[in-house]
Amino acid sequence: MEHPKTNVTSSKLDIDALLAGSPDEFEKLVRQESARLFRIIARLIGNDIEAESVLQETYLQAFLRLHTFRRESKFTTWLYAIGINLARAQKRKLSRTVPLDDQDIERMQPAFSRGMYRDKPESWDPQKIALKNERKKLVHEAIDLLPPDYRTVLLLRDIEENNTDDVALMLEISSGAVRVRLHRARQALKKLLDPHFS
Amino acid sequence: MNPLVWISNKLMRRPSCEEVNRFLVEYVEGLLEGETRDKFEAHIKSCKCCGPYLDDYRTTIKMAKTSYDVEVPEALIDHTLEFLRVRMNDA
Ligand SMILES: [Zn+2]
Repeated sequence: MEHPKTNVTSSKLDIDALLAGSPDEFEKLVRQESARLFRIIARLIGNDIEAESVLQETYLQAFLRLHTFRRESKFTTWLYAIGINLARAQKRKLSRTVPLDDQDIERMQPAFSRGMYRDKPESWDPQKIALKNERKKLVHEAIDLLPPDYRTVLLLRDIEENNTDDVALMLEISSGAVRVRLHRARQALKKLLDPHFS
Repeated sequence: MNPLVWISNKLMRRPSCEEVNRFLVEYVEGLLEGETRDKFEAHIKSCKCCGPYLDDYRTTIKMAKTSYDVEVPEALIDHTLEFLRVRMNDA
């Protein structure tokens, strides 16, 4: 890391050099991934200042654990998995609100009887959505209430717009499990927002 | 069995609201194809529950997307590299 360069972002990451401990390659990694990784961490924690130190810790952990990277996923996916775990641990420490639990999420799913909706779902009024000026805040607060596993999937998939398979690799769960959690998270979120938009 | 094949077999007849609901993620992701997708769409178009539900489901996704602004600090990379210079030398 002795020779900072300004144009190191332009070329592709050399994974072999990176794994061999090349400081230049590690710097390139930092320059390439920091903005996106910071956004994910900041959203998971909900605090930008904390996010900066978790980002730094993520790189340090990755550096110390380079020898454990198995090439079963992209290097960046492996890096993101470290960042997501650190961010979730930090969120647990800082969180003052008690999130919903799995049973709450279960109760918030639509119920069916003989294949049909047991109760007609509440439907939203587009005008109410358009006029609601604190809409962003409402949605943000509702997402914060979701249990961590659901919130994480929703953040990575719907907000960061990663594809389902990448999210599965980052969280070390199956793509099917990502889709199930995502669906339940979206439906719970809709239910939380029903009183404001119906 | 491939879940998508299973879905297609299962939906050869008119899908129920519950089945439409269960595969909304796949539908929204564009993973349903051909006849399966056609049956799905025919149901959604004619159903007083599933049509509006899908609209709100999509709105939920769209609103989630824009509800979390994050500003990346200008000096983020410099701070991070400086931190790593110190700590990686210790390591
Ligand atoms: Zn229906």
